[in-house]
Amino acid sequence: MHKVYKNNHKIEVTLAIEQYLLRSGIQFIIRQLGLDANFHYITDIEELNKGTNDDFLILHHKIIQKPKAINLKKIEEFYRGKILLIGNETMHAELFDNVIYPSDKELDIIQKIEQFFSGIKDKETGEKNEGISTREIDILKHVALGYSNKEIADKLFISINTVITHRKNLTEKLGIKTISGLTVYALMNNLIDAGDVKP
Amino acid sequence: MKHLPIYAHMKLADAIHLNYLLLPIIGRFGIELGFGNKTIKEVCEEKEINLSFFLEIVNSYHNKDYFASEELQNYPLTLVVEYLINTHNYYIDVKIPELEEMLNSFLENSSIENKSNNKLITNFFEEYKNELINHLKQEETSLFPYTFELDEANKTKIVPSSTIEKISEKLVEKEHDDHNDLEEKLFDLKNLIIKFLPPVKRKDILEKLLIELFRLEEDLEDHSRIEEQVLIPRIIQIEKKIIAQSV
Repeated sequence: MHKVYKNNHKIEVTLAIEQYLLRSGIQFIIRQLGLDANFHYITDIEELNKGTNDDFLILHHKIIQKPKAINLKKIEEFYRGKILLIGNETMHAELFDNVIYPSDKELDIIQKIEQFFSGIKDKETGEKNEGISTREIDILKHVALGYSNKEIADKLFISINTVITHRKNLTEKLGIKTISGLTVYALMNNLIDAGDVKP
Repeated sequence: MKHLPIYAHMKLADAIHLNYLLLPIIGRFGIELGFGNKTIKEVCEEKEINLSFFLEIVNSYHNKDYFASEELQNYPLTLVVEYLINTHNYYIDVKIPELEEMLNSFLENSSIENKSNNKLITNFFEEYKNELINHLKQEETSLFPYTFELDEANKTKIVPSSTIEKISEKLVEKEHDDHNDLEEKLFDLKNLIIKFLPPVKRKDILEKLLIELFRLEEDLEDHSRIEEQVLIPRIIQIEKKIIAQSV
């Protein structure tokens, strides 16, 4: 039920791109952006239709078979919101938030890739949240709301020791030790609502 | 006595020039500014302050490692407790109202988008303040009277059964934990302002506030050190003696 969060916060990226040159180019740009990613390759449409557990899919339109519009919709349903499409001007790309076109200039491409990953950058590797993982944010929210370690462990189906480890890491990363301090941090960053805090 | 950075024949004014953070300390001893060229010894005589005790306190405040000397162990307990109470009064009557005033003006000068964050900081301080005051009051109503009681029993060799009962309550054990909790909270307050509070309109007020919080932290550390390294060891010593005698 719960995704296993890796300690090193690597992001998992599936590349559904047949051309070696294009694939390498994309990987190069991603690494240039400073993202720590594991890449997996899919070159087969059947495999693509099964879906993956990865956080992101970068999809080259050439891999989609005709009728493209229908097949694209199918894939979108599988990967909802986490697809970057490398398309062409003639295709129906309106389904997707993230599309790179052949006419895009260097800067556009870099910006689009950056934007595509920015969701996870904030959550897992990013500067905005002091390198706190999504799981740690979960824990932080519960601590801030006034739950005990035991209650948090029960709610999230993890052991108390795991909760304690997460809390230790949070305190180290944020430099905040007390529960009320963590609550202020969570409120400042809109992680919780003031009304939800246990008195 | 070994040579100290701050010594009896030093001009008090020079001691302040050496370390201006001593200003509130001399205030706690009831010394007011305007002492001209008088030496520490002269000022203490005039104000009927125990000179050696005064020197111990200012030197320990000036040099954090100073307490190792155990010189303070020889002063009457009443003197130590009186000094601690004066320090409490300084926090409650001077320091906390000062910080509150700064926080109020900080809050009043918030822009609309900063208001809720700044309010969080103010509330957090309020929480800290209440805990601090509770702790100080707690000491004044239980630990300090208990210290006097022990001191009296030790001197007169008459130990009421109520005193024996109180020894078993182990009042001193809570002290260190309380100090830790308070230190952590003050540290968090500073860190929230330094690291996480979005930029505010009145940086000047915030900076002053932060500097005052750093000073308060230092002052409290010194205060806790006197309690934990001077007062408490002596309490424990007397407790042991009384228990040994009562068996």
